[in-house]
Amino acid sequence: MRFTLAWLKEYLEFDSSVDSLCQKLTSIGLEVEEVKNPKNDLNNFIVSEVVEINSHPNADKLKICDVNNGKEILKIVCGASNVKKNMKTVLASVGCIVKPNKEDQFKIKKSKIRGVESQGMLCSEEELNLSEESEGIIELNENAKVGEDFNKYIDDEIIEIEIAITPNRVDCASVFGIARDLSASGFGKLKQKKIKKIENDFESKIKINNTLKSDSCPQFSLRQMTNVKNCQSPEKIIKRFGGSGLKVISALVDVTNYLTVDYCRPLHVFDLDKIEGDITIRNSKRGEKFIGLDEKEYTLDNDMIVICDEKKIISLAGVMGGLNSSCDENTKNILIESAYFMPENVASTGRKLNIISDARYRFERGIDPESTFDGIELSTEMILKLCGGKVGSIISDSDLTKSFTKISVEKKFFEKILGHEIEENSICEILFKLGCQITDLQDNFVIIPPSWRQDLKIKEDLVEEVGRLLGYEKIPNKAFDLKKNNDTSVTSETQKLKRQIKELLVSRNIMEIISWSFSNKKWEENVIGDTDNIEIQNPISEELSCLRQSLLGGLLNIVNKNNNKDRQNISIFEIGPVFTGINPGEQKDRLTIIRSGKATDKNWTTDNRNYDVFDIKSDLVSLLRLLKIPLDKIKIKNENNNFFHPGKSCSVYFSELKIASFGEIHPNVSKSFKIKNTVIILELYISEILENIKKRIQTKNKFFESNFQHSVRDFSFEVDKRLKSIDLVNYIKNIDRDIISDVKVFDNYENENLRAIALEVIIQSDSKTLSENEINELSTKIISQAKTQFKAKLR
Amino acid sequence: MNYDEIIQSALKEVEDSNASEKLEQVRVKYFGKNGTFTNALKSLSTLSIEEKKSVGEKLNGFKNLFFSCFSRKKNQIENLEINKKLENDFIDLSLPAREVNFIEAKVHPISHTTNEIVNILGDMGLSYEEGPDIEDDFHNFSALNIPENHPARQMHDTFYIKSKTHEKFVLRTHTSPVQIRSLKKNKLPLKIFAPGRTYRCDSDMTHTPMFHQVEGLVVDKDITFANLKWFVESFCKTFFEKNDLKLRFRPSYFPFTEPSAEVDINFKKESGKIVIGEGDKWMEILGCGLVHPEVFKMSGVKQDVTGFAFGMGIERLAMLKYGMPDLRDFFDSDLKWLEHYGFNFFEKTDLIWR
Repeated sequence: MRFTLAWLKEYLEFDSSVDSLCQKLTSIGLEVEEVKNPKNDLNNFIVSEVVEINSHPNADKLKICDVNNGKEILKIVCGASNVKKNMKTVLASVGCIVKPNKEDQFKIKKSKIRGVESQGMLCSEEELNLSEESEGIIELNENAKVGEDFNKYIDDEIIEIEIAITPNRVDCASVFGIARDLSASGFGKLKQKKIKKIENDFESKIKINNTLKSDSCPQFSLRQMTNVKNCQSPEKIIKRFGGSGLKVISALVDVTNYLTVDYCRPLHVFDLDKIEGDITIRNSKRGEKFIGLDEKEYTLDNDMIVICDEKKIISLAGVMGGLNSSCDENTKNILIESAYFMPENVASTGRKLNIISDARYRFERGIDPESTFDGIELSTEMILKLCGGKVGSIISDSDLTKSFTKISVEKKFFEKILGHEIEENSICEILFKLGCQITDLQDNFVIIPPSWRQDLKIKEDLVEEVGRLLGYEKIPNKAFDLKKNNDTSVTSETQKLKRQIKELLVSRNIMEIISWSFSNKKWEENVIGDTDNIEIQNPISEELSCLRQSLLGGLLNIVNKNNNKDRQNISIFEIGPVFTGINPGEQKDRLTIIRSGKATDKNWTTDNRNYDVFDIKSDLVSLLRLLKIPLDKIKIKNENNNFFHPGKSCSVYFSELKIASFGEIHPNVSKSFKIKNTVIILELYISEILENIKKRIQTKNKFFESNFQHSVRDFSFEVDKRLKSIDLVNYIKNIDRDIISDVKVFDNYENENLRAIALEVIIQSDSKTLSENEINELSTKIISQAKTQFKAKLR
Repeated sequence: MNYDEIIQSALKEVEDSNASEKLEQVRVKYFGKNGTFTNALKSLSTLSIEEKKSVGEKLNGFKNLFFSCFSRKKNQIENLEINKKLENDFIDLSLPAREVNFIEAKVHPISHTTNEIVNILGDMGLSYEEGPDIEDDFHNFSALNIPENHPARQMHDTFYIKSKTHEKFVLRTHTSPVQIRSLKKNKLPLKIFAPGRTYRCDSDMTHTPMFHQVEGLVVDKDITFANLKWFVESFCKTFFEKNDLKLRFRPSYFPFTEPSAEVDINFKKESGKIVIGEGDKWMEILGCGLVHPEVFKMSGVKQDVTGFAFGMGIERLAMLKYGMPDLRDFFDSDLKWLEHYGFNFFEKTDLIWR
């Protein structure tokens, strides 16, 4: 909502500065978003009088003026055509900055113009930023006092203030309403709006059939005026509209727009000669067409309120008038419409048709339902003044039963909510100034809010009004004990673990990424195949048109984006939601790690090798350790999603629960994301793991280490190419759990013809030192069983 | 045998040795398994008691003499050898470290900032709640006193999920639905906060379709606006680590709080950079208010309680504290940006250790 200072001053008397006005507006909840005050930049421009004019010896168009600035007579060279003797105007003397803060601002210097020295400059409005374009120098009223600061003479219409209005405060989508609110806060004195009842010149014969009287259009009034002369609005309105962001159209239309902003009273004016017969207010039917003032055709839905004559729809109630009945320069006879439409209906119509208008904005937030006749009278008065004409009687078809809200509030309630005692008198004064009717019962107030404050419905609303107008800064801070009776810990096990996982992975030098929860059909298809997407009805772009069912698409896209910036070696991860359905809660936390490109920078100490699956397996091992999942209870299965390389990927199980999968990505997937480097990924099913693994125990098992000597035996077996080494290892471990304390693979050799695997078996008993014999016996057992179970040949 | 002569030549040989191996040969020659003196000592058993005593004493004297010379010489030779080795042992320490990483990994600034918030609010007595990203109309709007056609819905540019039924699902436009879920689920008094992803159908310089908010809710007997003011001020001062931070509470409007306020903090601009907690300009930081009675009603709360709620944008908090200039960069995943604005995993967010 934008308005000029002069407009506000029409309703509010005050002496304070523009700055303190703005501070007050913000502090009562009418947040000032912008102030345009050219006065702030104009310093030392002086009201001066041209006392003598002489012609310039070297230029026909220039004059040499003797100018009195109240202290001395200065010689000023001036080229303006309107300069004349005894004229009062504005002098910029040496040192003044003209066109301040504009690109072409300049400082006045003593200078010679065509050989004659000028001691300053006489200014035009444009040179003082008072208008965009101006002709000639400023001519002040003859009463202006020579020697005074010109700032005093600048019209307040030039000062523009824009405030943000919260949806509940439509009463302040009105200059008068703003003045009323300011005065209720103790800022300035409100000048009441005078509403004159205009005498009829004739009885109107038009009839209204309001079929929605008991429904969405409780009030509908019209006034007929004849013989008006539409014209351009006067200078004052044009200036004011400019400073308030309103479009000047013609006097008849400008009046309605003026009152919309002035008094929050949206109105409409029809050209009566374009209307056929009586007026009906009814609900629209699906498919009806309507062409608005914006010359666009709209297709209506059921149950929108339309105003019709006997042939056609002439207006979409509270949203926009029709082109077929609009006023133009030839309009002579008019109908002024003032009505009250139910907010929900206007909101729904506006939203469905996507029409934004000043009228809709106000109606859907709930204007004053008792302003219908005021609207007619105020507009009649203005139209009479601007366009003349004869006034008809007011015709209405309305349900005039008044309904009002009655709020009973305990006097103590204000303190109970605000936490600060406020005197009864202050409470009453504030509510009274807002227009409330107050009945003081012993412990209670009974409050009837004014009709223009439809937002005041419950006692809490009244508390806010009191707190707001008193100033929130007046309410002191009060500490209180938040920690008593707290029996739950701040964070859950899951939340703790997620944080630990992030820190672990960053410590392993993997960058944390946060990417969109959105994905698109193509990515999803590339990484999880042809599934039902969770689509967004109104996506921001095709790129982000559904919800992700995997983190992979987004992360691969990030790899590609970084590759394009010539970052080839990438380790990234994200922990975030993936979606499994459209219902709330159908989502899981997922961790995905990607390693791609070279594992090391070109470096003098090591080879420049690519990341491979065993890098990501190390990440997995460190995660399992963090999650306290014992490594020897893990099963690796060669089943995989089709986005994986079939031979270089696997799923990881902990008992029957699939907890992760990892491997190299399928070359086709890399290709579809335009990634040239190898990509290794790990997916960890965080939600599934944490749901199934019970709370971790804080106390630790007793530390134990065998005191008896351990022996190490190495074995090298020739094995099948497709053997899973972990199966052999686990098998050997179980040959004699009492004395085999660990089995490790320490070498794996493959060529075209054979594969050899080298194992280190650590043999140790908790109860005795083992004899050479016992160890040899075990070795024989290991060799023979490896042979029978795995066809492994000792080399 | 003339032991005196032998010992003299043994000592000389020790003295003449110039390398460890040579010295060792001398020791073996005289005192090894088959050494001259070793054998002499062995043969003592064949002598008479008197002879045994006198010869034995002599031989043991020789042995002590030999070994004291031997160890002195050994030390000397070893020192020489070490010094000689050091003379040729040199490495260029200006070579690069065994550093293999192009870019140093960091914790995302959103995670770091969320951790800070968790620490502060947790320390103030609130616990960490979460809610789903997809919400129904009830939790995201109706229960928060935002009925259909309410103008406040226009402020939320909502993403709708395509559905085959009539049920309307949305991507939550704020974290406030967690208020409803927590009120329904938990016993009173209730003290929670809920950070998380939020979504609005908006994308420009200052909006991304996904962003993060944190919601707070405290419900108990006799919670007042004065309590809310204290709480918010304490939080902001701790978060920005500025004890003299100034706050301004401005009346505002949220359908789910009454009274409602927006909170500004003071700042100044210094050579183009924002300095929080200094100067006299104001910048909006969060919205808050006392829980609207309708919200309690919709959540099935029947007790006579009051409460306050607040909500703020995590990106905004991060940008103001750490100076990232552009919101959109948070989700662009440029590794260089993340390295620059991210945090080391050991940078603690705890109040005590920061």
